[in-house]
Amino acid sequence: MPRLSKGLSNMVVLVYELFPPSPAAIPSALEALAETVQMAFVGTVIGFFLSLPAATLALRTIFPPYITTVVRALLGLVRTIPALFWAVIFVIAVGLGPLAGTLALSVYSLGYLSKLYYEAFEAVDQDVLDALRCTGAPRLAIVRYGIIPESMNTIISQLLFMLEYNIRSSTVLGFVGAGGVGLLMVSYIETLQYSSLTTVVAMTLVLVILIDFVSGYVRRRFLPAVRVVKLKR
Amino acid sequence: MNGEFLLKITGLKFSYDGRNPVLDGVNLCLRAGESVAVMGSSGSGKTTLLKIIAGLLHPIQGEIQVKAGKGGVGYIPQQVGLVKNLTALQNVLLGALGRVGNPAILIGNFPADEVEKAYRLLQDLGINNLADRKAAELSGGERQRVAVARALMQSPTLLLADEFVADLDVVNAVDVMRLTVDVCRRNNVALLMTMHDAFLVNKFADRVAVLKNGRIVAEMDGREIDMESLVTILRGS
Repeated sequence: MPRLSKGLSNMVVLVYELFPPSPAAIPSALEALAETVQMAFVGTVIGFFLSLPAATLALRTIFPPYITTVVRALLGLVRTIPALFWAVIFVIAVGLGPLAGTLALSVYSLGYLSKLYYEAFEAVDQDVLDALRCTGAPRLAIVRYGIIPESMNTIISQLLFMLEYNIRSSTVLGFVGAGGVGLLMVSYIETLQYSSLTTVVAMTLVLVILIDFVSGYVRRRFLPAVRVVKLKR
Repeated sequence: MNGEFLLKITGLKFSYDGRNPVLDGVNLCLRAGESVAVMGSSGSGKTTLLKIIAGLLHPIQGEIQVKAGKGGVGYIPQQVGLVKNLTALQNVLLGALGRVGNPAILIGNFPADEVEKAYRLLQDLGINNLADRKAAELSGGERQRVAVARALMQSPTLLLADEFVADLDVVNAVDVMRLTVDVCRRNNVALLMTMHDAFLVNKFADRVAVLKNGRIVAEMDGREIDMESLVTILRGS
């Protein structure tokens, strides 16, 4: 109880120091957020382009077990390690800064997108694959012309999800020195500049909301699972 | 049609679980240019038989001899199997994938003569005006025609069609059947199809084989079959 009551009073002091947000932190926050978005975008794109061949090699409907088992095991290993830990590994490998963060997000995206994609690819209508097999098409052609077009909605949808997720992830990768807005947050915490911290957090929140809005628009516009038709009265 | 055997099946046996036979000693022959319908109750093994001939399943016993030639065996699955996000023309071009070995295919570069052949097939089947329409936007009858064109695109000597007009209304079914049989006859392509409709079999098949209890129990001229005789055969001991 004494610790709880002391904690509550500490929280009150903290809240008092958090507000009002400091406008002086806006330029630094904008720069850090831009770096965060770049890390997330580049990391997602690299992960995406690596995940397509990885997911293809993991397909039991196309490749034999001695290939798919090994590939799935490796992808599972990649997925098991959290993005934050990948960031630590890459900070050790390439040093502090956004390169480490970008590499961490690339590897993490590879692991998750590959699994999501090979599960979607294996759900493709068997009749499509049977018809293509009978044409004598080679394996890569079946993937190129059968599996990927049939899965295109899922491919794009999961890619957008991964981008949104990576933008959120990249805000905290800076806590281990891997660049982005997380690094700025840590520096404000360590120097007790809580009002600047509030500014950064608030701007990060605005960014996340904006990304959600844009992603929702892209999905509605280009991924018509359901088209809502407005009737003219 | 000439007298040469294109397909010869002897003592074919198949089981999915290793215990209950789906096909239990099927014997069937098909000549070049002939159209044969296989009829039977649901679950009698008609689709399984076609898949085995197409090489998609492997029999546990028996012999299949197919003189397929370079074009191989064309296959139209029960649910057609078109790629919904591709156009009708693109779907037809997929029939050439086994023959066009150029790596440029992987970036969508089909040779001009293949594209011309695809257009010609769509024209033969009366749907060249739908070449640029996405498969998802086509009607049932249109999709069936595209599937037929895709299978013929690979220049097969044998075309396997699994209840490919089952979901169509009678007018569309007759049109698609007539076009398919005509195109096959003109190109000397043998047609082996599974069917439920005795009217269509009577009208379009040269020969009919009835599958029951895993075996062909009756074979006759296509014009001799009607619904009553089919039911009699299927219900008989």
